[in-house]
Amino acid sequence: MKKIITILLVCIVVTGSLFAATPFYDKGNQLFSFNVGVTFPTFTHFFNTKETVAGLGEGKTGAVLGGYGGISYQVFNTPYTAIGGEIGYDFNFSVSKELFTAVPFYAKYTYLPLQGKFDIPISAGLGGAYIKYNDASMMTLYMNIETGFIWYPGDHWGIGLHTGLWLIPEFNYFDHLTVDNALAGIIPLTLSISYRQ
Amino acid sequence: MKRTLSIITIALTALLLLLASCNSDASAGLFRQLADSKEPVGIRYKQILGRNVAEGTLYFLTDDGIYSKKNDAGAVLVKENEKNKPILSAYLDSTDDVFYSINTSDGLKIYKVNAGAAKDDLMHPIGAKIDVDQQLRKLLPNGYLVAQGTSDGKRGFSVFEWNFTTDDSVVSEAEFLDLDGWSLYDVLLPPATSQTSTNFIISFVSDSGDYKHFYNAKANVINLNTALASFTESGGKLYLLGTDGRFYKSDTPANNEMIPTLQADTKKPYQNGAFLYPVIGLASTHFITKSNAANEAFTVITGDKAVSVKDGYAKHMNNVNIVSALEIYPDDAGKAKLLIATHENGMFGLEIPFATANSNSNTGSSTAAEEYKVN
Repeated sequence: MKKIITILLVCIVVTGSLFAATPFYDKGNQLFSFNVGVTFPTFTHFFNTKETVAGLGEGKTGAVLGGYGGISYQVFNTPYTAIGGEIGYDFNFSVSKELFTAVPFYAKYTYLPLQGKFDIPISAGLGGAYIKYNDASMMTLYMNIETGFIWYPGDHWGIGLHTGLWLIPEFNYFDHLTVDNALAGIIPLTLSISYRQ
Repeated sequence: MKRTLSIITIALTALLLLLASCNSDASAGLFRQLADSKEPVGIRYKQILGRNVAEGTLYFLTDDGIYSKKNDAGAVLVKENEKNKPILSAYLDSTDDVFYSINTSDGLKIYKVNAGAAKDDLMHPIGAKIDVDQQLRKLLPNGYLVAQGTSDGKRGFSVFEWNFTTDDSVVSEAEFLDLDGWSLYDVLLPPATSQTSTNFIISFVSDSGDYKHFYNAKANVINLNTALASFTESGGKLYLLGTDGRFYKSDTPANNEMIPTLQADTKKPYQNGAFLYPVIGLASTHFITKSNAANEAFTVITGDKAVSVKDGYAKHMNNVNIVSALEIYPDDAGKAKLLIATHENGMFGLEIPFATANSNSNTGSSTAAEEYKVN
């Protein structure tokens, strides 16, 4: 127990020192990232029936573990914040072996309270996504929040681990489909390779 | 500045329109379809052959071969598919003999399962009405055979019942001769009673896409130039379901032409052999159908109305492909029990209440996949 408390205290002290450190980035610095990882369809809420299904598999979201790959570009507008965008491709198979795909493309705003040798980015994204499953496909809104941890062994290249929550609403405008209006939540877990300059 | 604002406004409007673009052709909402998807059970059913009621044994055909099964027991292999020779269809007779058809280099052949023997018995069915180049085309679930050949120099077809016991004679036969320019489209039996029904509709299609249908005999012409998906009989009437979802009614013929009248249009697509089952409700007959539209359970036609039923007896029928059905009983309490075999999602036992069959608050029930009872 003492050991755990000690580790936690060290983490807090180190974190505090990082906060106190001089900003690593300057306005105008750029950040490129490639992300790959897995996605967990987490929940779907149907507005009409007020029904929420959660988890992987039949009788739940109906989908199983999937994969995601994306590229992002951001530029620092202040030493602690960056703006940019990301585009990616997500796929998940349903339990009936059909493929669900999503192509999110969105603007991204990132706050980096910790930066330097280690970055902890906290991002919010807003944009659109093209989603497709079976005989249904549509362009819809896309929102996400993400956080992560990036380690830069040198000045420029870093590797990181990220997670967060994607929210993808489905608003249908045809009478026979409005009963199925829904909001889906997906949790990504990705590895990244970043280059900063 | 004004120009910039205009450009931003136009861009935002375009983006909004883009994000509002829709799903117009979808059969259900995208995430609803995903949430309703069903896991394959690992058995791909092709046909329910029938039951031995006294022993409580069900026989069925899958992609692997023919099986028998008793309540609360595992399936027993009756005949395994041979390599590159899948069993196409099969027939269970009243003595539990099983006959099956396979394609060979010499055309369709019919065999009788000979348990324990090195080889099954080759049957020799041949229709009496077609005398030249006769080829078997189909073994139907009721044991009837469909043959094609030439008679009087013209293309002809016959549907006949073979004496499988003696393997040497035709029991009954209907001939469909003088059909140059027409190809066999399908032979339909009433779903759920296809194992025992002696009534059938044989359909032909021409090169130009016209259809001809006959009910049991060539004299009984069904005057309807559209592809049929299914048919059933109720109250002395014949009910026909087109692949385009139109539902027709006709008097049963007595050696004359039948002119069906349109009763309802479901506006849904149906495939050949689609499920169609009639139950007599309080004031009218309900026809339970299964379209091949994604994310649909049953569509029930009552009078000229078609409604979607997805709860009660239909609760597991969403997103399944029904390949065969077997009526266990209609009882005096106004219920029917059916076994429903699906292509990938298993077999179900459905109990359908007649009076509320067209309602989502019906009092029917459905077993989960593979939890059906044979009796």
